[in-house]
Amino acid sequence: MTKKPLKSWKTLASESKARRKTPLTPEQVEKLNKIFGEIDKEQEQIKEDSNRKIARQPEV
Amino acid sequence: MGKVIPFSEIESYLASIEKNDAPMGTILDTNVLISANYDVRDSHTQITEILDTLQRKHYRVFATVNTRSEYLEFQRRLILTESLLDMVDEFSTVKLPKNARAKIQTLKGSLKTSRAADPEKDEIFNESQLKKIKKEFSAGPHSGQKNWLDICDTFLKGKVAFEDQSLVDRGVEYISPNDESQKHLFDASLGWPEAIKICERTGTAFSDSMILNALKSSKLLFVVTFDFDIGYAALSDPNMKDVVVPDRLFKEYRHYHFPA
Repeated sequence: MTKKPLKSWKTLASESKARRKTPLTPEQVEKLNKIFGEIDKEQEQIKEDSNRKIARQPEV
Repeated sequence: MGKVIPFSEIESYLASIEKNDAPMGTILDTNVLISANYDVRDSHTQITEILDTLQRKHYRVFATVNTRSEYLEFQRRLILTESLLDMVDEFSTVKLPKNARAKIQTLKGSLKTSRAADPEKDEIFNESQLKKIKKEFSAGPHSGQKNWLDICDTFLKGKVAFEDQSLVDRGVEYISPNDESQKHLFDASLGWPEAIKICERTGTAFSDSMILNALKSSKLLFVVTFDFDIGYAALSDPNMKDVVVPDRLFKEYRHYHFPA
């Protein structure tokens, strides 16, 4: 069995960087935006509920 | 006592040890692997030249399993940091939740501040910062963190495995006396008690003690490191072997004198 030649360390560093820097596909962006939009809505809702609760508390 | 050899003398050092019958191999520490892979570090070019020299001369390169774990941990934090910072970039099309965006922006500022204080520090989120960011991807205390799982799926999936494989592609082997192809490299057992002794003797970090212990138990003659403490431990131990370090670090050992 012939041994696969080793790649140079510089080549591998460039490959690694290229892989990390791969831009998101439009589908990935759309998916994330949908999820993030829902988080924003939920967080807003929690904030509103909490404000309402405070407003309902009788004054001391 | 081990010797400390500067990078600039690696060629003559290798020529001098090739006369011995020792196996041609060395152990690398975590920072060596990280710098070789991360071109943002000033030491990147320097270390890739050293490693290419070793490769050209057919030296086997080893790492401890602990080093593998530390390397992959760095990659995890690097990939997450770059992905999160890309999302707060002004040109990003990703619309982050308000709280998460604010938290990432704040912690991005902390990264810049600590980098300004210490230029050798990597601009990478630490574990505590990542945990704070992770919390912001959950609406409330009861809504779980499924959204964080989606982030991991988008940004991390396959990438940590790629980094792990890239070490194999570079020829990095994990040192183990139980591996058949490595049995001949050892002339003593590799165990915890010796590593603990090294740690207690010089106060070296335990991961470094494990590297030194592997070196001591094997027939290999040297390790390559960026860590001052590894060279310090080698110089202070009459039975230790050699340590190859950057020239800048080599100069620092001049201030230390150990009995021969």
